[in-house]
Amino acid sequence: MSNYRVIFEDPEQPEQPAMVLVPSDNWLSDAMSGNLPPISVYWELQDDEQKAIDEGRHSTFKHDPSKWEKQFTAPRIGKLTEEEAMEYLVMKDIPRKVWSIEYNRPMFKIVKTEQVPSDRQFRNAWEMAQ
Amino acid sequence: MSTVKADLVQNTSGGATALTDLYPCKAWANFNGTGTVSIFSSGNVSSLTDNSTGKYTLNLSASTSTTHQSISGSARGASGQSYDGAPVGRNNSISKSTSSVPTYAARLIGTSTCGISFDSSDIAVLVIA
Repeated sequence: MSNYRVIFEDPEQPEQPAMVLVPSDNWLSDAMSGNLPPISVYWELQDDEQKAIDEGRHSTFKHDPSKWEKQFTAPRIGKLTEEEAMEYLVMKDIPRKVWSIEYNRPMFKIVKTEQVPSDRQFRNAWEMAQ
Repeated sequence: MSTVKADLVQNTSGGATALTDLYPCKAWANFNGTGTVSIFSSGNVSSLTDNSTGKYTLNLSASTSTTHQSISGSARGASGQSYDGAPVGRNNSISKSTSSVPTYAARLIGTSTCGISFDSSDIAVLVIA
């Protein structure tokens, strides 16, 4: 099980509680075995999909098969450490606006699992500590 | 009777196979939504996002090819309550920027009973596309 979690906030939804990204053990194992495609493969798919959303045709959207297959056929990037895998995961699974734009405070943090509160009584009021 | 032994099945381009007349599950996960959220086991899932009470996003390792996913699941009832098997479904309130479901995430999964979201200790989700 991973030693890390990623805490992040959505800059466009400041009233939404902080979110916590939990890596999958299977995926982490793949990442550390060198079985991932370049991150650009996912970004290309996300860009195509975002364009479809912007143009109002997302409900009938289908990926270009040649781009979609790259998830499976692109040359693998080699073995990652757990820390490198977490950085890759941030760029893959957290919206780009969270980590690619500089705000007046950090919008995400990679933390140790034990730093995440286990008491969820006030879960909907969680904020990221500055 | 024949026995087929193989470590990997791919199409002629080296990509994922399309199995004629078979409609396999594209991703699945079983996770604990209480305490420090954790994934028990999963397939084709890179991560899980704990959005808020009873609301989660399942991020797929490999995206589906279309936006028309079927998401199904169930969840153990909240602690201290007598019922079990609460529904799991899409929850459109999590993201205002994307009201439809993207192909790279079974976004907007929620557990709720009578419209009230709650954290469940055992949530199972299937994604078919």
